[in-house]
Amino acid sequence: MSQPKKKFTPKKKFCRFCDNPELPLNYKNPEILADFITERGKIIASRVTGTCAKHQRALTREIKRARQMALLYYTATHSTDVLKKSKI
Amino acid sequence: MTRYEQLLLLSPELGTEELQEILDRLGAIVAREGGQVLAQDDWGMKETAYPVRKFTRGHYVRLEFALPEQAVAELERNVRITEGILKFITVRLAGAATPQEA
Repeated sequence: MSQPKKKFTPKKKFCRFCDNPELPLNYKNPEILADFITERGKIIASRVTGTCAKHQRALTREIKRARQMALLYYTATHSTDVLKKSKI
Repeated sequence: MTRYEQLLLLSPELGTEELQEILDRLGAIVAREGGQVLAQDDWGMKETAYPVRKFTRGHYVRLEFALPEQAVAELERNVRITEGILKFITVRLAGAATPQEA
């Protein structure tokens, strides 16, 4: 019962784009951008993901471009019933 | 001359020939405005993230070209009036490029 109190240390966050400069950050790679949005489509704060300010700005821009081109979703709702109806 | 890329989302109802015709027409406009098409890559038919004009799929084609700045508006005007193009985005690419030109 007298174990030394273990302090919870969360995993250190880091900017994935600084860590790996090869990682493409543009609207043409929605798979990567998808890691930075919630399942409801909101862009996740850099405070949460650890992305640096420079890359977060670029990320936001590219996510918005990808949404425009229907490569990413704006929201998870609203589209389901239309989706069922259309065939093509 | 500036380097641009344009991603087009084309209607899934278009046949191969119609698609080619649209791309040829855009290429001709780029050439007419004094530009040059540098690359064209076809992403093929993809599911869209949300329905676009009731379609849940679309054909993505990426064009890369060099074009004088003032001609972009003219190209976009033509893209807008072309039937079968559901969505497009024009992005200026980094780096001033004037390839193969005296």
